[in-house]
Amino acid sequence: MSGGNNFDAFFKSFFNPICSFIERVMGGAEDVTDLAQDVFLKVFERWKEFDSEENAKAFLFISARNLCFDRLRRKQAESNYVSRYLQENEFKTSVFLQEVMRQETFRILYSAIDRLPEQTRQVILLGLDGNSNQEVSKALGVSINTVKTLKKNGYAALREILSKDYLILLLILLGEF
Amino acid sequence: MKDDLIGTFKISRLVAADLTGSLDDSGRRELDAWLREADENRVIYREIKEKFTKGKREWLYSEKQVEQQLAIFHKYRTKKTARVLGVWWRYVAVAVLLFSVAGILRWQMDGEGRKQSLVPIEIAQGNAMLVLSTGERIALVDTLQTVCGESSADIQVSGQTISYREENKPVQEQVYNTLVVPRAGEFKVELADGTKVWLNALSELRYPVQFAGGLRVVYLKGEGYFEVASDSEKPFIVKTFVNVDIKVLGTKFNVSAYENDVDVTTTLAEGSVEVILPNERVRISPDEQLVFNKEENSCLLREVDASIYSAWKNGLFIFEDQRLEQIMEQLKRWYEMDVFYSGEEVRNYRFSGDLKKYDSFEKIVKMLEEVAGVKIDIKGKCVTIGAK
Repeated sequence: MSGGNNFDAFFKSFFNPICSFIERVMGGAEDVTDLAQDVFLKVFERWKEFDSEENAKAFLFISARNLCFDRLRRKQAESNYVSRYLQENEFKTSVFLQEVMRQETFRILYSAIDRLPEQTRQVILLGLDGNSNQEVSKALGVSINTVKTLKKNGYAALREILSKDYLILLLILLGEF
Repeated sequence: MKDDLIGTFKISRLVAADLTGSLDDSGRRELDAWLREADENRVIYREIKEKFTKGKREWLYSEKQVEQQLAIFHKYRTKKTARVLGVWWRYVAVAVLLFSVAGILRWQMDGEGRKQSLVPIEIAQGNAMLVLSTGERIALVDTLQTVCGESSADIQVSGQTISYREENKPVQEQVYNTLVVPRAGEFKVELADGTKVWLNALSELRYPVQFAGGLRVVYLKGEGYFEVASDSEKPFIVKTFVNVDIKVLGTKFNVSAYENDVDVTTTLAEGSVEVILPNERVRISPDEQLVFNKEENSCLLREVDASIYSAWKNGLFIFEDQRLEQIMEQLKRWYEMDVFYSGEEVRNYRFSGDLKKYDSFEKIVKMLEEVAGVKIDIKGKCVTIGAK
């Protein structure tokens, strides 16, 4: 994968998931963006070597894990700090994979939702926040029937986006930048 | 590790498709097979599903902020590359050294172990209990149920939540329910006015089924996190079993008032509350904490990170520079055990950290020993902590 622009698109897609990962692992209150910057630097240094997005992504999460691990270790050495992620000198693989899965799933869902037309997107998001159709119609100032139609179309569009091989789709997207 | 990750990415796509109802048959089979593989797979799947269908969007930074971060990235990367490479190897060397020392120590200490402990200390089990105004007691099991027996209210239980609906008829007489949460439990109550209360282990909340009159009053023993529905005409008051009341209009805060704890601690997350003490009233602001010592009848106001004090409601146990004795007192609310100290100074060792609430007790003991330089002996339900 070559070209600096692709890297920028990658950065934008994964910055939030990585910050969220760091925040959960470090237990908040850390300089989350500083650590995230360091993680992306590692990816950037190797960017030309990745032959697929999956490889770049795997390297990204492994770098995030290692940097957090390193930071937690130092924190533990400096003060009496106990972390649920550092157990018996290791960051348990299963716990790590669970955190990755959480961030990846939300990233896929949110980026799919973000590609919907604005009003449809609003309807879906308000619905996900637990609002009834009636409440959504009030909030957006449209009729209940419009809400229902938009919701139906929105979910159909999401299905469309997610049923295709998502990986291929994203690579095309990255190529377009 | 790389293959594990690529497998995880694939499952993430299946879960995302599943949550929007767009999973095809072969994907469904693959996801089901993965869910059958391990308990923890089902747990994380449920967590993600719950968060997506109920929760808010959870990204920390807006699109604009991410753009700014990208600009910062390109601006500084040339400088950083040099710096990071220079220091990197020193960290590796130190880390390798540390790990080898830790490895040797562990190897030497193996074999002695903690084999003498008889019954392992485990998370206590038990159902939360609801006491109706008639005195009837109902065990709340982890399923959907409708509670009958309270004529003036519609009571629903779902999972670890109990909710009360406001009935449209005027309230004649205020009747009370009490929710009792056992050791290691936790439960959420949604009161008739929309206020949400998370109750921690070994806690009780007594509250009216419907609020009548000009005040909303509830009674707390133990610890609770409150999200009070705003109603400026009806102040909300939390009464504790000592002379400390907390008066609010609409806000989020945590109150810890355990009978065997000398302190009653109120921590404010949002809004404003007034703590009414025997001799004075103190108004506190977000990220402030008021600690009232019942024995000395004194109080202390300090600044804290409020989220730490309500982490328990998300299954975490976070402590910041706390005394070992305080930490063990909190752990006793989840694990059935008696704690003894050989030597007074051990009680005052201070720690920071975060643990998952449902970790095995063994694991927690190991971590404390490793970090703290204390020696922990377990015999049956007796835990003795001494200096190393």
